[in-house]
Order: sequence, then structure tokens, then C-alpha cells
Amino acid sequence: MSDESNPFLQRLNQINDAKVKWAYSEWLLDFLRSEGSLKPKIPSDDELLVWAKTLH
Amino acid sequence: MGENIALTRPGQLKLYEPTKFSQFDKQLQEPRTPNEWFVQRYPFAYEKHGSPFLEVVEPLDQFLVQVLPISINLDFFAAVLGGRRDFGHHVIYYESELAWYFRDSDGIYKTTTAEKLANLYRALMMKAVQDMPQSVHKLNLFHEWRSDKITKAVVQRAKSVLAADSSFFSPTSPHQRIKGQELQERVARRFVESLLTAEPGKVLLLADAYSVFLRLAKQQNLEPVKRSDFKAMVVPIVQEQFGVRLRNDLRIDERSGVRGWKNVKMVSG
Repeated sequence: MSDESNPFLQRLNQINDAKVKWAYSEWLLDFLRSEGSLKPKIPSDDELLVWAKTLH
Repeated sequence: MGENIALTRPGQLKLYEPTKFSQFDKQLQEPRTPNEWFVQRYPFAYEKHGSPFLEVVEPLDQFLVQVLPISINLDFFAAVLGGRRDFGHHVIYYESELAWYFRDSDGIYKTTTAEKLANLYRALMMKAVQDMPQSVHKLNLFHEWRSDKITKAVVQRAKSVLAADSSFFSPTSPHQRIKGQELQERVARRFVESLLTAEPGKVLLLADAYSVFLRLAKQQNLEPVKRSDFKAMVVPIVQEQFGVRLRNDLRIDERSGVRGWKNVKMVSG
């Protein structure tokens, strides 16, 4: 079974892809935040997948 | 650097040119030039302001070229500070408060500073330098265009490129921003820095200052603060700005024990 037809691996790849994008997005935002300001919480895997779908 | 080449070989001066993909090769290629690096990440800035750099492209041999970026497009980089649209980032300069806001990952706009935007600009330039192949000359990217002079010019340009008027945070606007003491403090600081001036012999009454501050806060759709909270916010700012302390012993029109500052006056209401 190839990665593309395995739903579990497909989801894992999507999560990993979303994590990379989230980390880069946070890296950029961190430059604008102040020390001590509350950072938004780290999203769960499901929340990450929803976030990734909002990306253009 | 590069000026001689620019003068003698204008045909080698290149702006960014979009890569033509075949229908079988739709993947983005690894960026080979600073222009490609930035346009891949900020296509809207390119669409609006054009090429990030003017580059001299010199053939080294039949297959290789050397790329020397020789001039920077400040407008493009001002737009870059507006944020990555594909990530939902957004930075604005809120003119009525002379303040910078960015949309955090929780969707709420929060305050930031010109210095932090400068840090972001320099970091992006550094990241681009690190991703460039050997064929790209890196001196201008690393040194000249990360200098304080250029960085300040980019942030200054961004004030107009990213300007938002007061309707951006109006009660009917979809944009949500942080609410809290820091916004009141920002108005208090603006009040002191813009509306007060030092003048020997003049007196500014706390009551007068408070009523003008309330008016300013109302203009910004902020909740009114208590006079005691206003006093706690404004006293250190006035002392920092004019070096005078709040007095409790002033005599005004036969009244004694009036609170205010000596040698400070309001320039307009």
C-alpha cells in the first residue's frame, strides 16, 4: 500500500506538513510579540489540520 | 559595489521575472536568487510594488551565472512587514494612535513596535542570505541592507504602506484587538507627548489633564478610567518627559491644595 492510499500515513503527512508551517508561522510572529505576553496555546493535531486548511 | 557593472553593462541588470512552469513541473523550485526567495514568500508585495531587488546577473561560464543584488526596493520590503498572507498574518500602522498592531495566531490584533518590526526585517534578510547558493554575492544582503539606516527606512516606509485609519478597529469592524490597561496607557503617553509642552511659570491642573484624556480615550472607543488610575498612569510619564513631579500644594484662584504640575502646559485641547 503506498503512502497516498494509506489514510493513516496520509493524515500523518498532513499533520507533519501543518506542524512545519505552524512552526514557521510562529517563528515570524514571535518577532512581533513582547516578552511576557501570553502566547496562543499550541494547537492539537486536529486543530492544526483545520488551521492548515485555512492557509491560502 | 556593482555600480561600474550597472553603468557599463545595463543588459545584465535584472529585475525579478516570474518562472515559467511546464504543465508537468508545477512545483516551486528552490530559490536561486534573492528576488526568487522573497517573491515566492511574498507574491502580493511583488504584485503591488515590483521586484525586491535590482540584480546584476553575470555569466561565469556556459552553465553558471553569478548574481549580485545591487539595489533594494524599499516599498516591497515595507509591504513584506505587512505579514505573510498565506499564514493569515497581518500588520497595520494604526494612524490615530501612531501605533503598530499585528494579528496574532489567536486572530486578535496586538500591539507591537517599530523596533520589533526592524528585527523581523533583519531576520528575514538573514534567512534569505543563508538559503542562497554560492553563486549569489551576499555582502549587500548581509551587511548594507541590514544596516540601521536601511532598516529604519523600511519601517518608516511601512507606516504609509500599512496605514489603517480609525475605522479599522471601529465597533462595527470585524477586527478585534486587545482590550486592557495597555491601550489606556498608550493614550496617556500620546496625550503627554503630543499635547503637553514645557513652559516655565505655567501650571497644568490634574483635573484639566484628566478631562482631556477622557475625551481622547472616548475618541478611541476605550472605556473611561477612574481619575486615580489616570493619575497612576500619567504621573511617571510626565516625570519622564518633563522632569517634574505632581504637586499637591498649588494655589489657584484663592484655592489651595490644588493638584497639578508646574512649568508644564497643554498646547491644545
